[in-house]
Amino acid sequence: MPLRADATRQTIERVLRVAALGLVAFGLWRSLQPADSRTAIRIDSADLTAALPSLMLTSPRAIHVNFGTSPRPVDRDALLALSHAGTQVTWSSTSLQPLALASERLREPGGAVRITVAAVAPVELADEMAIIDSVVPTKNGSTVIAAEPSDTLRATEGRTVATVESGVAPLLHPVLVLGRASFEAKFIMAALEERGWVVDARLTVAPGANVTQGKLTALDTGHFSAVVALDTSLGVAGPQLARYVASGGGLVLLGDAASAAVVRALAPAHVGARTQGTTRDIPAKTPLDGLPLQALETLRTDAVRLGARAGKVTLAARREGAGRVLQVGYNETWRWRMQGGDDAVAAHRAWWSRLVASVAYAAEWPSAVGTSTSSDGTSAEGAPLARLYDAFGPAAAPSTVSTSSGGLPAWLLPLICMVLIAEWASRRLRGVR
Amino acid sequence: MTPDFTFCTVQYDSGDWDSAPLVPANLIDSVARYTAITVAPTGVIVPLSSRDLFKYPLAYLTGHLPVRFSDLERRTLREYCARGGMLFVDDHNHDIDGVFHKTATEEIGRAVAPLKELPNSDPLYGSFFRFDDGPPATSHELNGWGDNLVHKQLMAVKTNDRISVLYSSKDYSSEWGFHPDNKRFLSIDNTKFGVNIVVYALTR
Repeated sequence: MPLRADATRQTIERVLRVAALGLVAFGLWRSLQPADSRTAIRIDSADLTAALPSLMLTSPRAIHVNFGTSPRPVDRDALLALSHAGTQVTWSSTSLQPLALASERLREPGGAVRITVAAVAPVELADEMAIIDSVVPTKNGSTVIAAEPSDTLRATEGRTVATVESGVAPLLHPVLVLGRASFEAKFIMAALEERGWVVDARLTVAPGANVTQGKLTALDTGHFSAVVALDTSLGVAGPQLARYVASGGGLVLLGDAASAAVVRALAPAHVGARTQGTTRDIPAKTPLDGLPLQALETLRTDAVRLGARAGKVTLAARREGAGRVLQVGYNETWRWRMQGGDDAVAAHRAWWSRLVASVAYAAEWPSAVGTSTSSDGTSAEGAPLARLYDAFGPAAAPSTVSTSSGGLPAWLLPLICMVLIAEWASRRLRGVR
Repeated sequence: MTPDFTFCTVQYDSGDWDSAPLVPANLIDSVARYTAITVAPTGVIVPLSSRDLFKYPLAYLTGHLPVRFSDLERRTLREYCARGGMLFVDDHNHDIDGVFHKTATEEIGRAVAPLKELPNSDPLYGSFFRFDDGPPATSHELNGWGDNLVHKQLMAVKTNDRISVLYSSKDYSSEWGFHPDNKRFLSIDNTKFGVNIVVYALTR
């Protein structure tokens, strides 16, 4: 009577014999299949555009592209389509350098664009009209502000070219200034208007008497992009500020405005005691040092500190609903414009415009980051090398293109041998020939 | 607490810059009387050639005598207006044929820009009290003194649509040159237009 263990091993051996026979049958079937007649192609990027229509029709087995310049996005996308259809696509390049270009329309009047570049070598920035600037790469990327560039921006690093669309200027509404009549009100309004903002104002002169500018319609994001609160005299608009900010509006709180009961819950910090500037005059290079300051104290946990002077927080911001609140500790910033250095007027103007822009609600704010499509659908590509990696993986040497045209898989024969050896060994170990 | 407004009288080298010493106190009184603007209880006197002028974005200049600015005074005034300061000049002679008017308007033209007539619809006339007919007439105009004219308009230089030099031939310096306590004897306070000038400077 056979042992129970021998019966098990006999079952295993039968399975192995059937598996070996199955694998042999699979090999015979594969060898009888017709061979893939498709070809493997190597091509330079300069010829790619012309060759792609015929390649799309013939659908070759493999394509290797040597990129001498940045590919056109449509060409890259066509290669990607071939890859998805079964063509093995590989690429190599000795010319393309890492380069990334992004642009962002500022929420300021005038259509200025912030251009950010990351590269490993000097880059030339241009639009469709002329060269804008040249940028030396830094560890964290470089930023250039361009006033009203044309639609397409281009960065060139050697033979690598990245392009993005500058985007459409955002739709900005007026800024509303609230507070007491003061030189601070006058000069903030002047600075913003001189930078192209439309400014409406409600300034308190006496109890029940206000100086107004503009239509002063409903306080919502359909009418105002931002509100600047100069002090605690917020008038009838004060109780509406929380709802306005929650719906996306921007709020700048200056000086002790954050102490007003109606906005205290929105403010990033408490208002500290007023101290004089650290310098007697307004220094030309560091004008903010000469301004009186109400330091921002006890920042809320969700507030972001944006500026400091001598260890005291001067600027902080936080989000409230869909809007943003910026708190400014400096007082009497008009002194910067009147008593500062030669560039004080322009600097004060730009500083205030940036503060308001940082919180302003813009009805449309398209941005061109990474890749976008230009008007002709062919040129916008913010990071050409990265897009190649994303589409086809790392660069490969041309020899890695598989020349196999079908036939038996390489794993088949070793697997058949292993199955047969296992079956033979099992039989021999239990003493059967 | 730093006051919102400090009255500043401009001292210049030529002429009699201090011909209306009671005007500052009178206008300070009116601003405090009619508005909630915090105003310094006393005014300051600042030389036109001094950088201290830039601490006071509204300044007042008057006189009877010929005005001749030095190069430094001219440069300072030009920069003061370019930065956003506002200079209120009043002809204490109320005489467009007088030496102050001729020389002061010429100097303003050289230092800043030529004066132009200010429309009576300008926001200045409604910045606080309403003056629908433009600048209020002074008793000196109505009494036929000086050039024997009632000037219908003021003159101004505007920078970025804001008044940087306001020029009056109406002799407000005489009209407002009395002790503030005597306002109680007036049926209508004639300094109200001065309040408009201050409020305008603080809001436009």
